[in-house]
Amino acid sequence: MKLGQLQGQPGTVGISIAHGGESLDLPMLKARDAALYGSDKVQDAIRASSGLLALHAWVRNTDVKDDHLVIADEGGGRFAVAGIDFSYTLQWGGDPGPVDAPAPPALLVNVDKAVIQTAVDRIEGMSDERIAQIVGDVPDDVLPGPEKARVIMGLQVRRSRVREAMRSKGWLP
Amino acid sequence: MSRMSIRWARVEYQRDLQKPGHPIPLGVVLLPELNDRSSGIVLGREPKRDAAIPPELGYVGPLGLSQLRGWAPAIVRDAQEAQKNKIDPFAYLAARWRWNVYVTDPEQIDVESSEPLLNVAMRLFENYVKEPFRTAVAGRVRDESDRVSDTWSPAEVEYATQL
Repeated sequence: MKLGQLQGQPGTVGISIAHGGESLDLPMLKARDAALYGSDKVQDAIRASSGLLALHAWVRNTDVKDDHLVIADEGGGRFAVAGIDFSYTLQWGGDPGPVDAPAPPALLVNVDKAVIQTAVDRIEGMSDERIAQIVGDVPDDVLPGPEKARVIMGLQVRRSRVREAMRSKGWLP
Repeated sequence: MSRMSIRWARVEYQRDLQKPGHPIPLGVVLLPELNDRSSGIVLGREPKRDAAIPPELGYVGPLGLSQLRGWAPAIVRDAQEAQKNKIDPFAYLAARWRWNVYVTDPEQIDVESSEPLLNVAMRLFENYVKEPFRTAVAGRVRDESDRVSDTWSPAEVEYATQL
């Protein structure tokens, strides 16, 4: 997703970017070619995307499902899975609340603890300044000033709670 | 002569979603709205199994092939499910079929009520794909040239189910 301007369209718009030249969501692939879906190459790709579990927890994604996982052909017999549609995220009040760990079924049966560990390390390693900069760069007509402050504070507080959420699920080594 | 409206849509293939080019036509979906039954027809073409990929498709990887092979019966199953659940079938198809193989927004065509749906579908297919529909049904093959293609197989599914 990229934010930008579109001729004839007022304000900032979000433009979805395709994940790959050949791409589709996981339930569609499962329905269309169960053998390919069950192959080691596809299952490995799903497993390699386990870090999404930590990200979903951090940003409080409340719309987590397999339809929001897309797979693309990377060439050389490799595939890559990505998460899409983060519309229902970052929704917390003044108190950023407890961090739970929602999981789409396809990821739940394919957890790679080492990948999650890496993701948690990266989340914890993100500085307060970097979070403020990323959120601050979002145009005001998408995220007004007071909302930015709420989101920045929430991400900073929740950052240190992701590890425990992952551990409570048994998703860390 | 009474006339009726039928909604229909195209099924297209886009080989590279990151560098979209002119879509390759695959077929048409017609779903008449009837009170007492769900019905529909899909006419199209898909790459032949155990044959070379049609040259106009260019390179097709496993994910593209998974969408191309058997798309017609799969679309019919989805349309029937939507009709059974009283959901707009074209909205349902557009939501599911949105990748390399996708269903376009529906259009409307007015036809004589007595005209067989198959005839309407064949006409729309020919206008869209720019070649006559090469039937999969043996009894309807007009001549040998009617079903000769080295790379494409015809796909034809018609159904009517009492609701």
